[in-house]
Amino acid sequence: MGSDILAWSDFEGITLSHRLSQEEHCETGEPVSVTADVAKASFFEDGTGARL
Amino acid sequence: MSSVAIENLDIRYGNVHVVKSLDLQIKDGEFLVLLGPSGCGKSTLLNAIGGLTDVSGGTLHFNDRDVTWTDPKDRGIGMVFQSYALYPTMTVERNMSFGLRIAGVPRPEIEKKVKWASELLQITQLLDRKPSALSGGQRQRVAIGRALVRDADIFLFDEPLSNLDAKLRAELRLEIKKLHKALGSTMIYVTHDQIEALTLADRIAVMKDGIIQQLDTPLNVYNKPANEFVGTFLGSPAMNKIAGAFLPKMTALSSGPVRSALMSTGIRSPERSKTARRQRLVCVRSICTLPTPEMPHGRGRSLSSSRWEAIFWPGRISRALPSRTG
Ligand SMILES: Nc1ncnc2c1ncn2[C@@H]1O[C@H](COP(=O)(O)OP(=O)(O)O)[C@@H](O)[C@H]1O
Ligand SMILES: [Mg+2]
Repeated sequence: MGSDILAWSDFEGITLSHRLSQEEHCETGEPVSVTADVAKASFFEDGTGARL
Repeated sequence: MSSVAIENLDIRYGNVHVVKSLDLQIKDGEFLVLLGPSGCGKSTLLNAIGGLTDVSGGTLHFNDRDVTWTDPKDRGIGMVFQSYALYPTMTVERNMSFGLRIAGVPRPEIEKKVKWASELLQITQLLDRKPSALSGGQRQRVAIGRALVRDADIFLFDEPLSNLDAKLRAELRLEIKKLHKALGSTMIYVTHDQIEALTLADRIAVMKDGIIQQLDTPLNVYNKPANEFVGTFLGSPAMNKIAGAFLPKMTALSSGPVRSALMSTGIRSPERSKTARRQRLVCVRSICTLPTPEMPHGRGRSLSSSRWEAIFWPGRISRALPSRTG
């Protein structure tokens, strides 16, 4: 069990959600860079939702 | 000890098809979690395994024994439900031993079993109390104890922790895990709570609309969801969905905001590539990084041209909330 921060960021009308550790400060309005590992991304077919 | 084989199982209530041609093989000694949203048919399936619900088609085997139409009391199962269903006028000891007394088990054997189960569940000091003098967590321990004393090969749990507060839930979750280790029995556990599923299961069967969407280890269900439903049902927060294009060998992502994001990192738009195909969904569990001098906002480091290793995405925090995990 631990304490985290749930944060949402907006960019061009898309909202992304993040889980941050307590140590990472974040404030509303603050610009951020989001990274996601492509190797760990999932790709689904639009419509059927099947994994690609 | 018992394995469970469910083949082509159908369960209907009138016109409502609740469980649909379901196949599921559960290994001897396995902890299998049935996970899915409310109403997807988890309890119906569990009740069919326990013999409390008649099936409309298909078969059910425990080891090599066909139990599709076997009476619940002859199936060798122990069940624990969300509501403890203890007899309010009986002491804990009487509640735990009730089934054995009905079955005509000799007194010394009953005492031995109750002693064993109450020690395992640390409720020996409660044996003389009535349920009304117990907390919710203690009542559920008694309900588990009542299932334990019945020499079951298979234990069925239907959301046993849903009525408890978060702290007790976490505690009893651990207890159930320990119990499984100690007994080595096959356990089938229904929940809509992904934390329970991820922490308890050897394998998780993710259900939706009476169909198993994915049957896999917690790690694989989390990291390699079989479809969009599984990907977005698990995780807190859920996977982020971004519409994008899919290129052969997943070499690149593009379109709309993703392209803008990639453009802003200085990478050429892959949309010009002739290989771009139909719209796809890209789902990621994102990691948020705050701007640092080495990585100014909106600038990615150079990525290999043949394969993009990461998606860089500029954004602005719109909301932040403290959250508890576990
Ligand atoms: N006895 C019943 N008669 C008619 N419909 C039922 C009965 N039991 C369950 N259902 C329906 O079957 C579906 C699955 O229910 P259930 O197995 O309880 O779901 P879950 O346990 O996943 O929440 C629901 O739509 C529910 O309304
Ligand atoms: Mg249910």
